[in-house]
Amino acid sequence: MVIAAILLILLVAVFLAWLGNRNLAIFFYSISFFFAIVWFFHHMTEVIGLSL
Amino acid sequence: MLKASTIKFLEMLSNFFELAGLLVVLILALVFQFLFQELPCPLCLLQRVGFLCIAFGFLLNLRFGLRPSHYSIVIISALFTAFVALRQIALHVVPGTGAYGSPIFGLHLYTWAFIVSMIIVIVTTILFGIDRQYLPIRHANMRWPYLTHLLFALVSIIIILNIIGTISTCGFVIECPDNPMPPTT
Repeated sequence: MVIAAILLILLVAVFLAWLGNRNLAIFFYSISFFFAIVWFFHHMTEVIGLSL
Repeated sequence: MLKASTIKFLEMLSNFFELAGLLVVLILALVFQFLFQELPCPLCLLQRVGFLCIAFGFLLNLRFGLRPSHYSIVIISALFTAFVALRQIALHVVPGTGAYGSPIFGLHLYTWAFIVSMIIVIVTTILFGIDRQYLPIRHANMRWPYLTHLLFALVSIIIILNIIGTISTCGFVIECPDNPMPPTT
């Protein structure tokens, strides 16, 4: 579900870029990229029992 | 010496080919998922997110013109994808720990993801460093509107299919299973 939400935010970014709103598109991209990194670190730390 | 307009044209063409190659990889991943029932693991899904983030950077270049900020989106997203792929390679690198999915030309999809993302980092860093592409050119329209719209539509469809695929694999739970099973008939 988290991945689906990240993809949805990225889809909004792509639509905004398509419509010509570059700054807002990059803002939405940044949000989805940030959450992707957070989710990756969650998976990394899960193996050693931290689940950050 | 090449003219600035020629360099700009070649850069746009390189961006287009890099994006096209990326889309082929993403479409192949969807084919594996929907036709061959090879369901993606959480790290595989994160690699797809990384590839789509790279595609977003190339789309910005095609839509708004060549800018260093767009290239930096491509490079940082490719580095993220490489890290995720390397993490998955590390999980299976010890002999006897198994592998995830079936191999293509002897390498698994996550190994290919690492190779492709590192190629993107290297090629984009070279493209990024050519200064003359950023020079303003008078009376030169370097945008390819129809092709750009087509690529935007294709990337949007791929993202929507990935959202559908993720929800159908994981359901409405926060975390996807580590080894998702195909539905039995």
